Amino acid sequence: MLPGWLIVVASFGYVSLLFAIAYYGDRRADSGRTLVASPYIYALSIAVYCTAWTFYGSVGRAASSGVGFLPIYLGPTLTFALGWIVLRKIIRISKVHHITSIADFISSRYGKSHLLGGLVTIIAVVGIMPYISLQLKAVSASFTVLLHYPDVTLSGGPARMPLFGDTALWVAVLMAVFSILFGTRHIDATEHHEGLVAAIAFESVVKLIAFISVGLFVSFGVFDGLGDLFGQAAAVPELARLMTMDAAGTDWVPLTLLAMLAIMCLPRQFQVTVVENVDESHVNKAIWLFPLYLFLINLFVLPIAFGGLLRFPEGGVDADTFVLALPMAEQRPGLALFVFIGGLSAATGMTIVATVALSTMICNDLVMPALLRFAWLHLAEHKDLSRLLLGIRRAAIGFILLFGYLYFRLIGESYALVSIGLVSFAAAAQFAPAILGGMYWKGASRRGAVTGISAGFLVWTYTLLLPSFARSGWLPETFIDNGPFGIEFLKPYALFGLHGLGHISHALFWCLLANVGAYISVSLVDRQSIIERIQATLFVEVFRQTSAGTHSGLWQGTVAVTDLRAMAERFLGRQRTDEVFGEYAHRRGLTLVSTANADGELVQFVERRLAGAIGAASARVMVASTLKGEGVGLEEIMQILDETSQVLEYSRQLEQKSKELEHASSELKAANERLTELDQLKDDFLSTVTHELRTPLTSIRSFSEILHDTPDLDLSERQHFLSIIIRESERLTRLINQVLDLTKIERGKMEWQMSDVDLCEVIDHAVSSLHHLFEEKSITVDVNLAADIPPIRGDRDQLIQLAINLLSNAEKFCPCDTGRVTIDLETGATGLTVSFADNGPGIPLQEQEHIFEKFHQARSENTGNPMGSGLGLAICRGIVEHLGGRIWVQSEPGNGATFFVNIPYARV
Amino acid sequence: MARMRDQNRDGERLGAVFLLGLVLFNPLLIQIFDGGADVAVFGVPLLYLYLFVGWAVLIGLMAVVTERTSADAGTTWETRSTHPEDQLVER
Repeated sequence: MLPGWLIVVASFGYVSLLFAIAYYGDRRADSGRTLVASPYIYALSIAVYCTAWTFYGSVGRAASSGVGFLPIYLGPTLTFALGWIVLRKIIRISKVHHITSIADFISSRYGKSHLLGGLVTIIAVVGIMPYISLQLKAVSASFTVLLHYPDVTLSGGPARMPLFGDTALWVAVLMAVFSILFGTRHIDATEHHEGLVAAIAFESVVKLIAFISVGLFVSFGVFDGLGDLFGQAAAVPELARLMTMDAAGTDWVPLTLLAMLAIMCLPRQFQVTVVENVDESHVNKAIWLFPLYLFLINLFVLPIAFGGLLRFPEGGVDADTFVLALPMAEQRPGLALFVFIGGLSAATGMTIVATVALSTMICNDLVMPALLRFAWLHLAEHKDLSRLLLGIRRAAIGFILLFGYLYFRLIGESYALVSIGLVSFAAAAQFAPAILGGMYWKGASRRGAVTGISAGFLVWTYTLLLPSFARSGWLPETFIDNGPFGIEFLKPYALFGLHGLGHISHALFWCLLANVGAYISVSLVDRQSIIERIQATLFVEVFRQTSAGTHSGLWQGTVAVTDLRAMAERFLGRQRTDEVFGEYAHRRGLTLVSTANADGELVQFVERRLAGAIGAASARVMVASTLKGEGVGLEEIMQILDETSQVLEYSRQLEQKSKELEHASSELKAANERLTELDQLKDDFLSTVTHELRTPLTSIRSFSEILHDTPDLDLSERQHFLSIIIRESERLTRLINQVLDLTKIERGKMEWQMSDVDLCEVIDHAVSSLHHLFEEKSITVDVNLAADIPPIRGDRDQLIQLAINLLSNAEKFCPCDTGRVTIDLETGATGLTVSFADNGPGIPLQEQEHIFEKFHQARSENTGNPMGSGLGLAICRGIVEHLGGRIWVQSEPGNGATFFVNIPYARV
Repeated sequence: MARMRDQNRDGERLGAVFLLGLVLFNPLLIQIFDGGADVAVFGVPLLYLYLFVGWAVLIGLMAVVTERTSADAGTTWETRSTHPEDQLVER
């Protein structure tokens, strides 16, 4: 009913489809219309995390430990919640530094150390190899199970089969071909394999749909919904036990931690998440899409496990094959075949990505550095090494899959699926301290990383790898039970007497303790080399540097004159650099060829000059970096130094800006004070004016009322009252006129009738118009005017007003009978000066400054003169200033006051 | 600047989601919901329900935080920062 050829044809058909998709993806990429520029494809490609181990093994683990399988998927969910912080940083660093693998990442962080890169590569290969063989085993086992359709009881590994009849071999060969075709098409700086990613994403869809199909079939086809399924299971005591946390064992927390680290540190996850990432923004969506994928693919693990346990109560069916066995037992060949394809896609996806990732590491971090070291190969002199690189990678792929297959044939069959997976996870987790520490701790040193990783790896080998050999019969079983040479203390599953934990938790504890302990303590006592320090800063502060990719160039121990000059120019400035180089050339009597390599003397010369500008130590670093045969590029150092100086410049600008701001705000404050003052003056003006207006108005009104209310008033009294009313009205009119005049003058709205004016005539006019006032108080007026004075330019009426104001002012303060007002006129060089002197009480010194202000007198109120509006002098000043003249007062208290008016001559 | 602050803010929010996850999947808290086969909701053991619903809530929160950002800002991390410090190194 399900013949072998059909399974084979379906499998080949599926793999062909993968080839087609990958081919199409690469074609699209070549033509610029990439398939993978989507966060959904990206998230699906990360789902390569779910291997055959998830597909078959989760159910197996659930069947023995209930929810014990979940930490493997909760861990990545938690790590992705931190994706914004951690993942994003890894990706940014890798993009800036063109990181192509996890070994590259670690070696680059710790000063581009070959030793570290090689170490990481070896650990990755040793740790991941069992994982790859696990995938081959899963395909082989599921194929065997399916082949026995519909008999499910004969499951388990193939007893012995001929080499060429082994499915695992054919899968290995096909995967090698696929990886070589689509993983090593060309050497590319970005290491993007778009076709490969497209195929992986497709495989993720297939395995998800296949698994959910089985889950739905078991839950709702075989059983009557989840309630029924769990209800039946709860009735069986052994199954009810699986519904508690006790079944999950003590490994819950360690396994979560392990999975959290593995999702970052597994080479294949690094490959799809970091290296194949084409757009950082895709991480945004993947942060929740990938956990969602994990959630969906695990949703039916428990129902399938319980379904299997209920359906095959007598045992005999391996729980790892329930996913396949259930549809077979229920006579659903189509579904069974689909499940097989799903498992195949899970296995191939992992195999392909892991192989490509490992081959890149083997080539870049193990083989090439070794080859370059052998001088007799003269590799460094070759211009084009890409063919060699591709050859190495292809060979590495073949090597990895061959060894994966051999591992499976020789020892892989002895061990349950899940355990092999976790052993690999634990190996990958050894990279975590170096990666995380390297991203956030500048002080972490190369020797610290080497010691940490080595220590962790050794403990891993002892507590996990060697026991797995012992279990496979390569080492005596007593190694596990009694410890090496019978030393109980060193039993690999209970090292130093630590027991009560699962093997993985136990190993993880000791590995990480050794790893982190060595890493931190060695780093703390170590001194970093310059290149380490530089790389540490570049990694830790990656977001503070520009995202524009700067690639470190390979220096061959020499430096071109132009480069040296460019470096010097940055610190010394163009002109100064020209001088320095000119001086050197002149002294040596040669001309510098810019493309030629600088000789030692020139370098030293420049270093000394640089030391003057940036200090000896910095100059040494700079020059040493330009001369470095390998390692950090000049660009990076430039970037660091540039950044520092730019930051300084930036803060200097800020300081300046804040000073400017301070200045502006103090100006603003002053302006505000002035405005407040003006506002106060305006208020004062208004209140004084209204007060001044009210006084005459009140008397006019009261005398009018008397006249109105007492018609029988005699005539003389009536006349007297009327004369008061008239006088007060005149005063009112005068006041209003003065206010109007003043505002007109102040606002510049006054109409000036400018003409040449004879000032003597003006003064005579004023004196005569005030004649009766002086008569009334018996004040003597002396007018001493010279004849033939030159005319001045002005408005005659306003000048008369000016004179009248000053004369009436003098009149007000002069005492009766003994009063004397003297008017003098002097001709000056530029204008006439008229003085009006009185013999009144004088003006106190402090009053003299304010006397020309509006309402001054009214405000001071100590003169007690009701006739003073306080506007007269203000108007005078307005008139004089308009004519370009000056008005001032001289006075000694008790000896009268003299007002001077200076008005320039009319221009001829 | 404002957008940058928002992004930092979302980083903090995701950090909080992470901490919530640590709390939710802590054995101590799980223990409360560990009623074995006897305590079931619609036939599904409470333990299973708790773990999967908690998981879904966590994913939902992550989706809300990240999706809201991309909807608001419409920008990506690729976007060049307008922060002066970042432009300084451009040559």
